[in-house]
Amino acid sequence: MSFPQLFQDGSRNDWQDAVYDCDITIDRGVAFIEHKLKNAAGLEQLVQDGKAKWSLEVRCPRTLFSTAHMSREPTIMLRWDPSDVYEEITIFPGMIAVQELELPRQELTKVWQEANTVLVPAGWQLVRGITYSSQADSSSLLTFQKDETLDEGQMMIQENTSSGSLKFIVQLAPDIYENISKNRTLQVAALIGALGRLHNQPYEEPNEAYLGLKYIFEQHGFTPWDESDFDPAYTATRWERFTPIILDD
Amino acid sequence: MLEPIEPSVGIAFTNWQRDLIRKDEGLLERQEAMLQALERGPEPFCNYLEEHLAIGSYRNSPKLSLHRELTLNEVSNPPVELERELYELWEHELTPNEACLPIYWYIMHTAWIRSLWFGSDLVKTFVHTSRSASDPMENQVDDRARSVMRRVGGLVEERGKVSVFSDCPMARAWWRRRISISVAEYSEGTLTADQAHIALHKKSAVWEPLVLNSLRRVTVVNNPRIRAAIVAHIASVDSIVSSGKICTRLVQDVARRCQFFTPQTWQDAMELVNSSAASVQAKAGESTNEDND
Repeated sequence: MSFPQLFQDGSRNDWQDAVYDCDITIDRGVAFIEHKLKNAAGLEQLVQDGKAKWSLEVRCPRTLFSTAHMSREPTIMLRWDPSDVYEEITIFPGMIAVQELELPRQELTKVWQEANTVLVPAGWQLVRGITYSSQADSSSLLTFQKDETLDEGQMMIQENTSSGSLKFIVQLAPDIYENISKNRTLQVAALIGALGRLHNQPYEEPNEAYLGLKYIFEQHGFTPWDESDFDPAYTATRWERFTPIILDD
Repeated sequence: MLEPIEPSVGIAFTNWQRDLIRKDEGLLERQEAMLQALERGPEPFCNYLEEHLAIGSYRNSPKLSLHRELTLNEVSNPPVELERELYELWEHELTPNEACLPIYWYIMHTAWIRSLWFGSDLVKTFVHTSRSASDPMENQVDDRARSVMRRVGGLVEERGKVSVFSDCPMARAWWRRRISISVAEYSEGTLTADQAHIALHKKSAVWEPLVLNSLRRVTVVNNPRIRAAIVAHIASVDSIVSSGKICTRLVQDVARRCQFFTPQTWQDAMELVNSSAASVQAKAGESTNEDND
């Protein structure tokens, strides 16, 4: 059964003109959020009346971790022990009904206004923010390492599954290692190289370590790497912006 | 805490596991080399692991303590009491961001094996195979090699992130006790940590679906109240004991129902899980009837 919802990304809006947005800052062991709502006085009133609350949930599936906080204030700070999480964490902002409540129909879209009452159960997510991750997908995939054995300007890429899921170690000659944090071109080149290695996955049966990456591909709509028209360069540059070098004529 | 894992160790780990399952001409020889090191005993096997995983530099690093030598049965399938003891022993030494890493458990096992905490017959300890003597020899060897890798710290190339939670008995012990404590905290008196632990341990068909669905996606099943309700339901029924498939469907059905809904009270969470379970059981019953027809 469904009830009215407002999605931050606009894919669902059962309120006529309402808009939800939020500012999120994430640091080691702490997240800050400021929820913002426009043209939804009825929703704001629910919070003021204590019938709904702003929420912020943090999850780290790698460590089976989840913590959440709800508040009548639109600004929330949530803390956790950094050792409880590993690598990427995901943030879920929103507003939740904390008791069964009746929504004021005048702000809702026409289809809901036709109902006699619009009763929403306790726990229903009235407002749903975009899911945020603590790291850009591709930066969580690559680890850069200086390799003194490589000649000037050289790069090598190898796979690392010791954490349980697939990552890539990008070994860089010392001269280019020094610039890697600021050089987008090098970073994208490394991503292209890493994705290029996927094409040569040697297994007949599905490899569980690759499932996380497969999910990312699906989410982004990338061509699967085992298909003949998979292009590592195109995929990488769809994923991360490539900064061209501008030459003086 | 252990010092950070060097990238070179990660590369060595990946290449080693792939070498031991990649189907090419040299596979049998590589697998037999590993098994022979195991058969020769603790020191040769530890040297083998240190060489192939490049973890020699961790030999003097802080290790998780073991308070006594463990019996074969205890290592193979730690009983609830031992799982609790291990968790309490390691409570201040081990953190989740270490315990989720397969390579971490390989480093720990190398130290424990060398210290003879697992005795000297490593084959009996780490080789659990379902192959019969009539199976082709290469299949038997393959099964034995995979068994060792799963039990020492996880076979990532085959089982991904779940392997360390589900296949490595020592890691599984820690995680299972940790989740049991969380369940007790969020179940509002319905279950103690020991009761939750017994449920997760005895009804082992539920552990993997619970963990797998938590690891593979950023899933709502990680919500501690929802997870506690699932475990509380499992503890209260007998029918779910043997069916991993039904457990999986239950976990997935709960996740689906909670996509836009967060139970606000313990009672709401239990009602949701019980309703899910009834639906899953009903569908399972219909499916059985159709098969019989």
